[in-house]
Amino acid sequence: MMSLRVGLYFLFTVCMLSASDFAFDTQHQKVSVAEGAEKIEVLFPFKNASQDLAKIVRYDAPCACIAVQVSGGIKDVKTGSVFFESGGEGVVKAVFKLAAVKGSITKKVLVWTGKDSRERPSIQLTVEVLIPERMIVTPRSLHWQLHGDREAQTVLLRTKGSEPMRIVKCSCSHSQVEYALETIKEGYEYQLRVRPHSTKKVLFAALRLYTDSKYPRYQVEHVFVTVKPKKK
Amino acid sequence: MKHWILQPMYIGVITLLGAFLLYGIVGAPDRSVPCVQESLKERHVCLSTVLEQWGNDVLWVDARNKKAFQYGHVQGALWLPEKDVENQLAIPESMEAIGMAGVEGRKVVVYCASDGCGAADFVANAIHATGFHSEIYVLHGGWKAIYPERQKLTLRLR
Repeated sequence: MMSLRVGLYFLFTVCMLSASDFAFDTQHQKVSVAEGAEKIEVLFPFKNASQDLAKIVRYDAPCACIAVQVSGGIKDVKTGSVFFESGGEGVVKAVFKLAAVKGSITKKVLVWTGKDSRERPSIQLTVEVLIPERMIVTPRSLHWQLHGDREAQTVLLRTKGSEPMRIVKCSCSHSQVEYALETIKEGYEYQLRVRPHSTKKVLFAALRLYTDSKYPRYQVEHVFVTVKPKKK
Repeated sequence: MKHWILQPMYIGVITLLGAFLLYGIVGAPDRSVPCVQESLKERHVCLSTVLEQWGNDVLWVDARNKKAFQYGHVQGALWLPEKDVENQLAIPESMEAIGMAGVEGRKVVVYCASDGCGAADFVANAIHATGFHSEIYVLHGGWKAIYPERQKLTLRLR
């Protein structure tokens, strides 16, 4: 009976040591980035709010575009775990490669503590990145009904912000699309008139509008063209 | 003193026996991604729904990076990586595949690495914006849900 009590006490102590309680300032961050930003760093400061030694055993992101680092604490080189004493502070840093994307992207960073199973990390940090648009394209897609009329449709292209951005070239992926680009205000406002040569065949095409932006993500804008039957 | 040595040994042996017995009865651990269709966000779908209700007659879109796609993907999947989705979408083959799936009444199912990768949502929105197809879904669990069910799907693995 005595040895059982000692065993249970030992088990309890082990459980307490492995339990952790990391308190983050915030687990969700909304970040707006500059137009030309290629990568951003998002920091998630935290503290070991428990009374015991706590550890982070693994940290990762399900997207290859994010590299995760943990600073602070004491790192066990062999296992890769990072230990934090009670009250100890640290920072989870997510380095996000933005590539040529624009718009709103939401990504997660996962952190496994000593008490988590391999499949279920207890800490999920979310980063919502807002990459500004430079050109407002209205509408982004044009539709014609199969065997319907082929009346021309207009797309308006407006530069956002005070800096001009010129459309320098326009091309189409399909020879069956007629288009004409008209400048309303150089660098700021354009109008694109589009119509298919025929609506007798199904058509899926993209108009590419090349700009003089120095940033790759704004160098091409697309307008999509469809001729298809009405949905039943 | 003898007890201190023998007792943990007994516990260890009993635990191991229990584990073997459990493996023998239940089998290998279930690594499938749990999914309840009703609890998912709009335009998100469980793999079981795709396989059982849609008969796998869908256009799969892989939103992961090139390395992951080359390592393995669903046979016939269209590769539209998140970081270059607009340019990839504007390729005639991509437009044709998505557009014709819509004309033929096949749904589009986009997947990325796992539930938290976010790429599938981004790519699904980009496809939706083209107007080529209106029924675009995001697979809950992504590749992590697909791989354990590889007996039910045709995968192309390196």
